Amino acid sequence: MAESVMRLRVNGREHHLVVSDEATLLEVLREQLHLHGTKDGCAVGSCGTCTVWLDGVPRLSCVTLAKTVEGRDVVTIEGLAGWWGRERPGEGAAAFHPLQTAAVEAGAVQCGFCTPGMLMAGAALLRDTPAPGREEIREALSGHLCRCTGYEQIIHAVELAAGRMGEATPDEA
Amino acid sequence: MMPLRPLSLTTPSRPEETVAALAAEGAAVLAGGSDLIPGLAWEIPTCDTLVSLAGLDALRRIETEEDGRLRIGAMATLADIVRHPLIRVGYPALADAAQAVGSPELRAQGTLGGNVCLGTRCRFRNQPPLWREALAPCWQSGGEVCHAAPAKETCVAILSGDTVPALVALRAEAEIWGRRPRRLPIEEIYTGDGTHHLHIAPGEFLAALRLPAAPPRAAFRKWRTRASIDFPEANAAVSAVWRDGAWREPVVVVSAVGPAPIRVQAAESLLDGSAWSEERILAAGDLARRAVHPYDNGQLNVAGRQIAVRGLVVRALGDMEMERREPVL
Repeated sequence: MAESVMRLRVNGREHHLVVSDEATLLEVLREQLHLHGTKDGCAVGSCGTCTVWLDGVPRLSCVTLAKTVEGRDVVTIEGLAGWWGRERPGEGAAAFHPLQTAAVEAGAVQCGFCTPGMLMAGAALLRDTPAPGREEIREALSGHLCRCTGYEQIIHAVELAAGRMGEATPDEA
Repeated sequence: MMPLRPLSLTTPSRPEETVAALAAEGAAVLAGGSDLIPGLAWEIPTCDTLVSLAGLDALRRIETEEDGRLRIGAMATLADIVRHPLIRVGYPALADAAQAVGSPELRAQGTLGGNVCLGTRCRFRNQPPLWREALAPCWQSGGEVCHAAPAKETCVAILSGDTVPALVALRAEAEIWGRRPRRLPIEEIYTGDGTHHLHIAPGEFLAALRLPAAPPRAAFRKWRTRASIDFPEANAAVSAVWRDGAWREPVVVVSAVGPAPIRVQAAESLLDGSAWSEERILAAGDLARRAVHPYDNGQLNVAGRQIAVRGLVVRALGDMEMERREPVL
């Protein structure tokens, strides 16, 4: 009904968008910003493939009204490598987040529809818990449906990425 | 994707404005939105105006009041509840119940108030609009039939909030804001009718839950299809105080088997005034099973849900008795 201009920071860029009150964050990302990496799966919060970071926290963009996140910071799968590059100053721009590379190598991507959500949830886990246990990985991915892989390869991809990221950044503690 | 029906969203920053906005025809409360927005996508609730509580900063706070009670704002997220040190230590059954809701993403968005006020669910109602077209309208959608219980004259949809039994067992008090703010024991906010399942009038909203300063010990258990995400097929919580070598003032509450939580008074009498032997715990579980009469509106069958109630109560009581015998500290 009511349309108005709202601010939203997406993948490091500030946007001013004309958004209706009932528009979901998913609609705005896909249809206004043409960021089609974030997938429209169940649209009712059950499958996890629409997951993006909202102020760094994995959230379901399909059940979030865009207007309720005015002015906040969103990272989508398109921005994950860019975020990773900014996280490691001096290392230069990254083409992929280590989890993206690991997902390809581990066979964690088959049809690929769940992948963006899986990776956003997995990357948030790796950021907060550098060496996650298997249970922690399963818990972090528990809101994400995959109908191809049987999950094992996806869990393995997170473990693979965790191992490599651990090597790349020696523990400072 | 199917866009939501047009609606307007308002985010008042003062309680008086919230009350006024909620008193209008067609207005509904928006808390976290993790259940309301999917509902709107399937046109299950319909409304013209969403009144967000996100502008009321006080509703996000978790704090100890002067008399020692813990006050949890209705807009505290379930993730806030799970990780809050005072709740983890003092009210662990509530943290367990919050952790049992949905997925990490849903807990980061869903709120305690939203879980307490969660719309009731039914296998014949919580379906996409096209699916529902095959059925005549039911009590919830303006019809005069219940597909789950044709002989019933009211809606028997399921109260599906996991925090509800834990809050009842912990003797929580609901604080309702409106033109006349009021406080009442949490079980009294449920009407028992699945269509209008809350005693919260237009122009009122749940603002906070208050927990006693010296809570009883409590335990929570849940049964669902997939351990990762699903709504409960049944859940249960128990509480009691250990004093002078016996459990006192036990509460046994079962939920997600009807539109309101169910206190199992027969089991409470049985459990009062003794330690809990295996026989006593099993007998209490049997009483709980006999006290509930689920309808065929969940995902799993009625007999299974009834048997599960027995198991949930037995395990919750067992959790408490074991913890007493061998404290894990």
